[in-house]
Amino acid sequence: MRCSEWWLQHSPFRGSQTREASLVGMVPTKVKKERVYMSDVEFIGTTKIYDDGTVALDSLDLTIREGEFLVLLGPSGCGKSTALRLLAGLEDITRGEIRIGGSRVNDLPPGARGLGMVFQSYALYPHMTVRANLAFGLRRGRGDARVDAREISTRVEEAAEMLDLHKWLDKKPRELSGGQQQRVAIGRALVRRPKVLLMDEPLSNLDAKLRNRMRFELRRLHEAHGTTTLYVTHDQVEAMTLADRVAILSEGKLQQSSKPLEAYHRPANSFVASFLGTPAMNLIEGAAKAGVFTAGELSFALPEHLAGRDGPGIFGIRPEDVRIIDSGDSSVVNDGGDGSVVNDGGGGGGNSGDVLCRVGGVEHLGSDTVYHLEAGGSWIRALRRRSADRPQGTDGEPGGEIRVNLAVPAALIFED
Amino acid sequence: MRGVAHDSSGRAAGKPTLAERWYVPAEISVLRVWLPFAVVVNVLILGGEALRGNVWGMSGTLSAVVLLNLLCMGLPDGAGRWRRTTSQIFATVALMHGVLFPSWRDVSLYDLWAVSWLIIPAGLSLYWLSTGLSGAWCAGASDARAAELGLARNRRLAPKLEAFGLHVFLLHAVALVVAPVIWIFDVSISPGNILGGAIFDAFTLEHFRAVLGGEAFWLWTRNSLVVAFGTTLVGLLLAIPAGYAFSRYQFAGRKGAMFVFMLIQMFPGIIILVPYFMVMKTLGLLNTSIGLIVAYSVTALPLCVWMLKGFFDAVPRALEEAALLDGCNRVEVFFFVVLPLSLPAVAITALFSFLTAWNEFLLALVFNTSNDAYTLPVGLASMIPATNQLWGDFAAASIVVSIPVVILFVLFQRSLIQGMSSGAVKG
Amino acid sequence: MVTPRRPEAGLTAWMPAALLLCAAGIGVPDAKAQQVAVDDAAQAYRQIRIEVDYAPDEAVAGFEIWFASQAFESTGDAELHSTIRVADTSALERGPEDVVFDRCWSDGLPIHRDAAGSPVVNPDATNWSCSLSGMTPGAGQWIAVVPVGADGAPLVDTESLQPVTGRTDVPDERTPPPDTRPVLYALSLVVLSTVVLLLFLRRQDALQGRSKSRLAHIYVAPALIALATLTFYPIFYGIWLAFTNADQSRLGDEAWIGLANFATIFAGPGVWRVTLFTFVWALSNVLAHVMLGLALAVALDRRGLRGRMAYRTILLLPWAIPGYISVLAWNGMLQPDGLVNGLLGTAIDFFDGAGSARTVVILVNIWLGVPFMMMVFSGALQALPASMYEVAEIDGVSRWDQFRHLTLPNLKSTLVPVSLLGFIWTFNSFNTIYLLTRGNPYSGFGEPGATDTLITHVFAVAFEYGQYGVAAAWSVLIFLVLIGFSWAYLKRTRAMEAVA
Repeated sequence: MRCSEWWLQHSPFRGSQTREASLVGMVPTKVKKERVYMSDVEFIGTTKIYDDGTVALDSLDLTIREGEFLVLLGPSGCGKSTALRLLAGLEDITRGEIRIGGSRVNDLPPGARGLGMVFQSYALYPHMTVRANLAFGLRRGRGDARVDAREISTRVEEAAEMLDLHKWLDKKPRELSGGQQQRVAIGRALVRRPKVLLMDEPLSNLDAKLRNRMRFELRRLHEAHGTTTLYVTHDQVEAMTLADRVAILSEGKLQQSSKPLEAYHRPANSFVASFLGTPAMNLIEGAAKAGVFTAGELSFALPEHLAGRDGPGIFGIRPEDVRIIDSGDSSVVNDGGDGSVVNDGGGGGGNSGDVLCRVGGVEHLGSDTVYHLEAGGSWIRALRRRSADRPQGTDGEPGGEIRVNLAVPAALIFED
Repeated sequence: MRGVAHDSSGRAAGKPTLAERWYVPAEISVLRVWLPFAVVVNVLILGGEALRGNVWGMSGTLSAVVLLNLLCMGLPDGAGRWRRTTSQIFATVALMHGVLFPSWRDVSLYDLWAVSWLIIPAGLSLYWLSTGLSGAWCAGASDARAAELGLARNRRLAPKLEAFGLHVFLLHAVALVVAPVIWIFDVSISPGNILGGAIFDAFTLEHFRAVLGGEAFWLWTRNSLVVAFGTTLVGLLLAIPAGYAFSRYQFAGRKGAMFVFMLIQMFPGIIILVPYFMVMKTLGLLNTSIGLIVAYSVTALPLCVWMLKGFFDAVPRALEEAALLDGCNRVEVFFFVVLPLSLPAVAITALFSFLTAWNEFLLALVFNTSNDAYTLPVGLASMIPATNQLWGDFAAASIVVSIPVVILFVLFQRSLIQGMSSGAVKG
Repeated sequence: MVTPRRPEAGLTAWMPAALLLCAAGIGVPDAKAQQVAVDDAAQAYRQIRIEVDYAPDEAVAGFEIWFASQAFESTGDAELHSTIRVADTSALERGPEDVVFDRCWSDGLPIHRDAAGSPVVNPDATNWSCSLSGMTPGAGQWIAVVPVGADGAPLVDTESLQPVTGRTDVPDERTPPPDTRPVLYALSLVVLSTVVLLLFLRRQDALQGRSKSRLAHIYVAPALIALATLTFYPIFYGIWLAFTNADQSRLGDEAWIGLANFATIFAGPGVWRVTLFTFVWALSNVLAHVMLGLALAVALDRRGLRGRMAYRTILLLPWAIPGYISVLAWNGMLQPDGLVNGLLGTAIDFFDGAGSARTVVILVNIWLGVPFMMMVFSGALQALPASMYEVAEIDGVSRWDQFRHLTLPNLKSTLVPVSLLGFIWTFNSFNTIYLLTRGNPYSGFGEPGATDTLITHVFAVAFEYGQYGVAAAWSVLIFLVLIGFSWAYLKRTRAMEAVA
């Protein structure tokens, strides 16, 4: 990355001045001198290229503030685990820097960095009891980590208290369930009083129910202790529920880092848009011109805030934002939140936001119904929440027609 | 839980940075590992000198051990300059001792190697202790910036130094392993029966001609082949059904039988050798292939059964059940489902019993007293009697015999090791 | 000491084998073949007895007995069978008459023997005779007796020996073929009882309603019967032999002698020494195998090591090369003129002194056994999770502590059983010692040699001294010791399994 680009991305002005910039959603890295706290973590142009030439991480710029719970989110192979392992010192950094508390740690051995790490596989020492597992790092670690025996037992007690491990202290890991093992792993990372807690998909080996409980517990722990946490996951639910801030990676590049809801509502690009949310956001590739978006045979009016856009782009709208207008009476049944734009159905095109669609399939999910709709060669997913006056499955048979409106305020256009 | 605020250099006033606290030059940390190794090697050399009764050499090596030990214990810890100075002095003395002590007029290759285990560690220590970089560190004079650069340097350097140390270790092992191999090659192509002398200084095929042109070698080979194939066949015929039964059925006496099979393989042949010999003699089975085949198939049987049981365990039961549902009977299931699926495993077991029979020495020595009935091991050993030893012919024959066996072992190493320890270790 | 129990009569058979005695030169003893005796008890050690009369001669310091299966003129074409020294015997004792192997007499009495057990005749003696063992049966033997001087040089021209022919006119009388009936009866009985046992077990299964396993006993039967006949039966037969006076001349008519064989063993001079050395041998080997194997496995396990495959393949060689070949190769390399001495720049005979011979056999066996351990540990190391070490790395645990507190404890489930098994294997090993030293250096007749272990000593007792009864008694003792080890081993592995 050239300097000029770097400046552009990191300029403090870029973030807040324009609408587009805010969509990028980058929390600017500190450029002006600021107080740096003990456990602030900074990735500065951090790049990892493996020996076989794979670029696992492509100049990542990211700051994790002290006390923050930051979730690195992305599909597998996006470099999120690499970022974590670079920070932990388990891999060498090819280019760039990582700082903890303002000092460069690129070359510090892992043990010197004052971190705690929780692995997906828990990585408990199989031959030790839970108590010994918790104490091992304190007893055998070098430098700051090593503490005296009395302190070890106090800290183990604390961890046991905090994570409710008392019953298991003298058991071996294999006698414990997955969830219990995970607690031990977390406890082991925490007894060291780490400056930063690293978690690498810690919940993905647990079953769904347990995962929910542990998620809640992790959040509670974080709120109680405020340890700076970097949490890697591919699960957007975890990201949305746990994170103070979420950083989304794809193919080694940072796509967006922002508050979870902001990433959801204002994704920086089509990747983030499609990655977050189930069912995924509708993305229609086409071109905007004079307030009308055209994609193949489909064309519809853009909402007001997008009316000024011109040129090729990707029109994005979340399934739940698609307003469904009943085929029968044309009344608005899913008003997408504010119902500001109401076009009287103009027959599926032209200058109206209304589109007349063929119903390709219907999925009843209980609380929601997902319609797979086809219009002018593009597929649109629309989601309708069940409500008291509209019980499920009353309309929209496959093969029938539904009229929807896409010109809603939540709609977006991406230029990538 | 906000921590102590730092300025941007990360340095709290007066306290050394993390980098400073964790920085030790790679050379010093490597010396801390290598020097104890050098001490151990010198202790071994001391033992060697004792073995060859060289009192002068022993005293020299003893002082080398002491000096290296001192050097090792006195390595600088970064706290003060004086430890560096004393270490340098120890290293110099050790180096001088290494250079001056041996009488360099007639040193053997071994002496050269032995003394290099003093000279090289001492010299390396002296050099590394004397570089400016480690000097600054030893004196505690390196600042945060230098420590950071040093850590970066360590990251590049340390893996290389460690790899170098590993290669030195592994190459020593390799040298010990290949020495007899090279020696055998050398003897086989040297004229006469010279045991020592320069390596590969002459070339002749007389030994190969003598061995391959003679009758005895082929006779022994034939005997060995008959015995090994016979053993494999008989052993498998006995072991396959038993292994299958142990793997698949729960039956009265199963545990007891398995325990017996396990116990039997712990006993040395010698225990049953005498009665065996007398039975074989009574039945007139000495000097016959049948006697050996019977003996080998039974001695290899327990391990083969255990190996096969392990392999059959790995064949999913569901397949068998499916075949049963399709109307096969138990025997058909075994022959058309289980056996084909575990054929690779059966092949490994076969290879195992073949190689056991091929390499066995003791029983063959006792049961075969006539030259015509010798198997290869006994035949080859008979080339080295108390007098009139035909080392050249033996070496040539050894090469011919070993090459196929070595290839088989190397190709199937994993399976063979697994097999050998599966019966035994899994219990 | 070996108890003399063997009268001369017994099963000795007389056979008219053609015998040519070669002797040559002036002052050569007048050798004549008086008897050609063939002991049929051990075909491997047929004996020919020669008797030599001669006039005493100052220059003669000893005799060499050479033999070959063809007529020969030069000793270069023959093998040296044994040597007899001529020396003052006043300080020596006449050896036990009834040593089975290599019997010699002078003046009609058992010959004197020196400390090393070699035969010695007095300078005044005018005749000696020897039973030469190790002769091929049914073939002619040519034998030469060559007098040698004090410097060991022959006193006659060994390149042109004049053949002298001797012939016995003792009538041919072969022993009847041994009675196979008792053995066959015993074997049938064993087979029968195994079958009965299996039928009983099958019935038990049927009673318990386990119909699915109907075929199981049939499947197991062949293996079990083979094992019973060829392992259990010999073991019990061996235990019986231990209480009999069986030896190489007595087959099938051995008699119960109670604990005499055990008394012989424990009264013998070397019993504790050989036991001690066996344990030293097994323990030092296993220790070295495990430590070196583990060190190599850890070294090879290192991430990104270059040439790993090449190293692994080369380091496997000692395991892959047939053991007897490597041992014989080491034997050659360790000779005074061999490669090792060449590298050391010395000419040491490592097999000469007890201490060095013991060290050398142990070192060679270490060389043989390390690769197997290396491979076992390599496999076990690869099974350890990498993340465990990463956690330790992040905790700042040093490499040594990682090895000591993570690797070693986790390898325990492999380490303990494999070490025990290695101990049992080494305890039982025969080839290395037999092919390197045959138990030598010699430490007295009938005594275990300096490098003998229990196993090689039993072999010598049985097949060199022909004392099957004593050998069987030794075997019983070894069996008891091994039962102990195996029990410990099995208990250990089962415990491991139960926990895992």
